[in-house]
Amino acid sequence: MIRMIPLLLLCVAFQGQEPPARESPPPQGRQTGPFRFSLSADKPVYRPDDPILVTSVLRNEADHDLSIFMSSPIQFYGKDVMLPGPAWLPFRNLAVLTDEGQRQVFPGHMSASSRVLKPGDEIVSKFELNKIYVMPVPDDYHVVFHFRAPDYIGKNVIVMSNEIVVTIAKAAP
Amino acid sequence: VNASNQQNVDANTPTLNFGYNPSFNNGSPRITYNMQATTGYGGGFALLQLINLANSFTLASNGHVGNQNTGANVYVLDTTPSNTIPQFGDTNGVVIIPGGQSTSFTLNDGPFLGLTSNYASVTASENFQTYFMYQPQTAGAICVTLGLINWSWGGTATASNGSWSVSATSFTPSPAGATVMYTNSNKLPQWATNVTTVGIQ
Repeated sequence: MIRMIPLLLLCVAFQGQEPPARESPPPQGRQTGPFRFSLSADKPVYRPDDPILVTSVLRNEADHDLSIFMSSPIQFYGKDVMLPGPAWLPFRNLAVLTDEGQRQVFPGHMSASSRVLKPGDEIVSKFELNKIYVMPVPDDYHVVFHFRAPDYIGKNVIVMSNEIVVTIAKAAP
Repeated sequence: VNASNQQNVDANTPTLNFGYNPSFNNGSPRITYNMQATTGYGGGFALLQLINLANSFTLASNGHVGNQNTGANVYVLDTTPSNTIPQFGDTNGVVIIPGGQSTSFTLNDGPFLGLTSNYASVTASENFQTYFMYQPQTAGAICVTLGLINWSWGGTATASNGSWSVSATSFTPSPAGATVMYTNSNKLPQWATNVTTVGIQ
């Protein structure tokens, strides 16, 4: 009977329409050269009008300083938000920017400057994904961020984050 | 001033840049500020930057021209990726030194506009006032200006068959690579708003 209680609570939590908070640690990102680029979402499942909050962490894994010439993260990172599609399709179309996303990513004047990351330093950035991109239907969206590494890492090296899946659940009837 | 596919925005969108950076992200900046300071009393040194701009964006679909304009001779607070005041705060921009010591530090800035496929042409016209400031480390002390540098850049990028060409470029100081000293000044920077509030209309 005692063992039944956690199961019961779990069911109640799901039936209460509140998507569960993420309890496991955020996924570790992929490492490219000295950069580790991690992407995580605050929840695995969202209701249709929930803000989809994702966090990117760019970390210097080297034992020396790294310089990176970058604009603000919302402009600097490429953000592939892949639209849902059948599993057999070998590609996914990308979500387009919302009007607000267009204003944030392409505001007109922008600037970039050098930032120095000491060993272990992180650039932590938060994005409200469905404010920036049109995510029109309840389903699974695969998301990956990326940027081109400084040339001292190598020519045309792309630093990729891990891929996450955010799920927009259907609205309750 | 050049149009390039060097990554500045959204991974692979070309940009109209101030300065040519032949090897992207290798540390070659567009404008570099080299600063040296000595103080008998100690204190903080920082940069603060204002911008006046009159940029325009012509839509490829219908020729509509959107303007991003602060107004003639109106300067607003520029922003950097860090969004701090003074700016460049996350790049060691605010340097605190003890009394009787000297320090030198280098910062840089690279303004640019995104060249998306929505646009047939994009014109930049941007003027900057960069203040080199000192703040005593006594309670309530404000930043005061030590010197000022004015600089500018402009140019037009035009799309044709999917590629961009640049014309009507200008920049000061010139020629490219020129080094100038700041002008001694005690003028305090004044602004009414932040450049992020100056949208494309």
